[in-house]
Amino acid sequence: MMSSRWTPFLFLAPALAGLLIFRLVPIGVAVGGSLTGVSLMGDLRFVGAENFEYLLTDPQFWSSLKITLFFNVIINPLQLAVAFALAMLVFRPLPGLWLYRTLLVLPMAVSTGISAVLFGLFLDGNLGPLNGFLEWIGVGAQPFHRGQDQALYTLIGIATWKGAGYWMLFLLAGLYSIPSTVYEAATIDGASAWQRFRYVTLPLMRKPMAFVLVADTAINFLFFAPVYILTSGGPGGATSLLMFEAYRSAFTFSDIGRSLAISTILLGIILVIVVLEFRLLRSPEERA
Amino acid sequence: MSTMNIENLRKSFGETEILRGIDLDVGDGEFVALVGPSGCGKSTLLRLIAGLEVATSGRLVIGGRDVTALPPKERDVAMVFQNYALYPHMTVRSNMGFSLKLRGAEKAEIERKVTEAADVLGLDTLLDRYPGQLSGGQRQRVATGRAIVRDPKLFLFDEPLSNLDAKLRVQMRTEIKALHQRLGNTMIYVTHDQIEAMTLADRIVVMHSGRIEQEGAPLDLYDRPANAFVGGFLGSPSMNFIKGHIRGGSVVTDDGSVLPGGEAVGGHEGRTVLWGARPESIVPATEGFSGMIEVVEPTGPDTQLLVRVAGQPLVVLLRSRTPATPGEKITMTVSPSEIHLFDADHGSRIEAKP
Amino acid sequence: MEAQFKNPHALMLRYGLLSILAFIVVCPLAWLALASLRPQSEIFQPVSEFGWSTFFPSRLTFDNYRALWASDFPLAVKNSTFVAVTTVIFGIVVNALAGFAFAAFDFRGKNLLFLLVIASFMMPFEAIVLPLYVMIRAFGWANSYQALIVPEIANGMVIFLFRQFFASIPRDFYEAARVDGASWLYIFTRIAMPLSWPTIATSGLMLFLSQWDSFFWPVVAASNPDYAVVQVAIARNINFEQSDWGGLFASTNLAILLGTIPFLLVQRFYVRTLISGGIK
Repeated sequence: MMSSRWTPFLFLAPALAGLLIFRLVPIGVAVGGSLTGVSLMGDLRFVGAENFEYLLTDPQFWSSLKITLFFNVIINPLQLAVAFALAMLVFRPLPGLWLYRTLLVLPMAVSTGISAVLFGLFLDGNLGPLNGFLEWIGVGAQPFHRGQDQALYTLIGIATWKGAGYWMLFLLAGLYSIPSTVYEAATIDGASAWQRFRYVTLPLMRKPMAFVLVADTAINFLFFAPVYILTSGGPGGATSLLMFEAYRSAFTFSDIGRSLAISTILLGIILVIVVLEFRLLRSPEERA
Repeated sequence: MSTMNIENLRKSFGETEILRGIDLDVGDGEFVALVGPSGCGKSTLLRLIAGLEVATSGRLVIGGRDVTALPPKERDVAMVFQNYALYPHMTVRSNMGFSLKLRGAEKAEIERKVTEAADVLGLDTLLDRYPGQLSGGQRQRVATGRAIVRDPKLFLFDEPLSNLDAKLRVQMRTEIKALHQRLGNTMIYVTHDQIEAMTLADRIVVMHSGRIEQEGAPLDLYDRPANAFVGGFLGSPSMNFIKGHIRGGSVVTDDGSVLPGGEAVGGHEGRTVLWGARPESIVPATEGFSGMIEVVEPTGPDTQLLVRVAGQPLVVLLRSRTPATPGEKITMTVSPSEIHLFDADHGSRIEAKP
Repeated sequence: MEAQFKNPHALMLRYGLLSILAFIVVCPLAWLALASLRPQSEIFQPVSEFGWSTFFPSRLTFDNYRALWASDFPLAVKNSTFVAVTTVIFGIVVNALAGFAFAAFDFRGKNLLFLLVIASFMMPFEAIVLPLYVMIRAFGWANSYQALIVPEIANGMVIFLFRQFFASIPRDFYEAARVDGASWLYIFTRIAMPLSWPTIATSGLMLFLSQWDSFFWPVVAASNPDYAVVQVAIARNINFEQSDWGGLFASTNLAILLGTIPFLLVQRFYVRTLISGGIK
């Protein structure tokens, strides 16, 4: 069977070529391009670290970075907490549970862009029902994504609506992997429901929770569609997250170099996150 | 006082009745084994005692206190699980001290009790390891240690040795027996392994289909099984049964073979019975009943024969290296006191009528 | 389980919380579905007077959908469907081949290559959208179907799922067929693939949803209306100052239905595979 020496590579070739060209090479393009002054017209000029130097003196960039960090500090723990609460609620059997489970993961199938449109309508001041309701109960209409103080939180809310069910699934898998006899042993040892949660569930869920937190962070650093659709970075720059800044640099200001420099910085952040994720997943399980 | 009394305990899951009225009294310091085939309800009974399940009806009293409606926490019982159920994120030390910590015991007291139990079980060098770093036998010891630390009214064991290999199982069996003799606590032990039950228990409770078939001292049950089920369940290889009629002090099978009737035939002339004899009760003789040797299996000290008698297979265990060849005819007998007769319809034991 | 001594209040609380959360999820979706069936004259009902009519139109009409039929929305649906289905078909074949190679063969560099696969699905696609666009433009692919399809075919997660599945089949199985004289391609197409239909279903949905959820890439790579996919077409129409609200309601609702219906059909497999694949 001499021929089989090359067989594995024939099987692998199409997929690996795809990953190489469309996942790996772009990273090089980002780094390389960030060192050049490519215009959308296509002429190319090596500028060294100029793009980065310019970025670091640009208050717009710093403001975007600050907003992106703030956004992540809020949204990731929030999504983790909501997803954990959902997982706890749908974990133990209950008549009719399948229906609740299906409903809670339904937003997975609504694309991020469409969910932004949906909430754009639902929260609209003229035709959305929520403001009508808020006026009816006497709170008064809110600007939501149109208000400088509320826009970022509105985006966080929409992303949580869309994402919590998805992350819940990973935490649910973690809950299922804890043997029920461990809970029974704790019960016999005299632990109350709260103590079982505190001393058994929480410590044993550390790994899945860390995984969700890290993976979620990677995605939320690249948050884009709702900004593009609902706020365009506004009002008053309140939602100009980095990814949107990168997009705008390329397509509004035709400054590809700046755009790729921001992409490179984001890639650096993502790289750190992926490394973290690897360490989490490969952490030797001395505790079987 | 660590007694336990169960009165007419029943448990159903939906339509299925798992326990159909259990009555059992366990004395202080007694070691009771619950045995039976899988699905007989022995594990459910243990979980009811622990408080992991709630009885459908009936009463459960531990140490003189009615605990039927109390959660596990207030029953003062400890349990060793089949898969050990150790807390994977805690060291051996924390595993063993967890219940004391929950009760708010002093650190020094926890440390003292854990060290004490670790000494008893030979775990002193493993106290800072995680369960994932232990072998099966060590985990089993930790699970036992976790129970000892609490000094509970009742120790419950749910097939604690079934995940160990054969050699280790025998060793741990001895350790549990020694532990009981040393601590003197009341222990209830569920197993499907009748040898474990025979060697460990002061009293065996044989269960079948949610009922207690018979309870008593191991050898009493072995020598005088109350019915064919108990007779067949205890002992390995298990008891031989052949159907026949009592005629003139013997048991005559359908094809006319004549088997010795034993002590119990008196007053039952004509009755249809199951004739029962343990493989080791059957011995070669010059006079008796005969059969054809089909298979010879030497095991070292013993020789196990499969003999065809009255058209049915009969297992014979010879305590010697008897030369035997398949195809040979063999004549055998059974001492009258070792012959068991059971009613052919409901399986209950038949004794001689005075 | 230790649920027996639990008081009935805990059960009520659980049902209550679940119902509130399910309501939060469903309410916007249900409102939109009903609003898309509103007659044109009732579009602005919600704010003027909150109540029953905020959610329930006085009469249901398909006018909005009929009007949609005449717009350029059917083209977007066609584009989306074509892009998604093509990606699913090619994606299953290409990624299953790779997953099979990782499961059935031992070869040099296997661990390193598998690491690349895993790293590629840990890095969200959005991270490389802009540099990828620079590349695609250099290929002359901007505004084309291949720009939308080709980069999404190779998918690390799907390779991983197929590898997990094929690795669960004992190798003896493949080797017995080899001994019987079967070629590897024969083994793959006639033995491995027919066994893997749950993974195929899950991967198909995963590839479908990856296209369906993708927004940044199509906006960047195919902004031309001829190639606009559903989510882009809708996003472009939403400036919140237009007059065709009915059309927006209907198209958005249609986009949601097109995503959720395949999801509901394959959901059970999908959830199970995602759970078992995600945490290993």
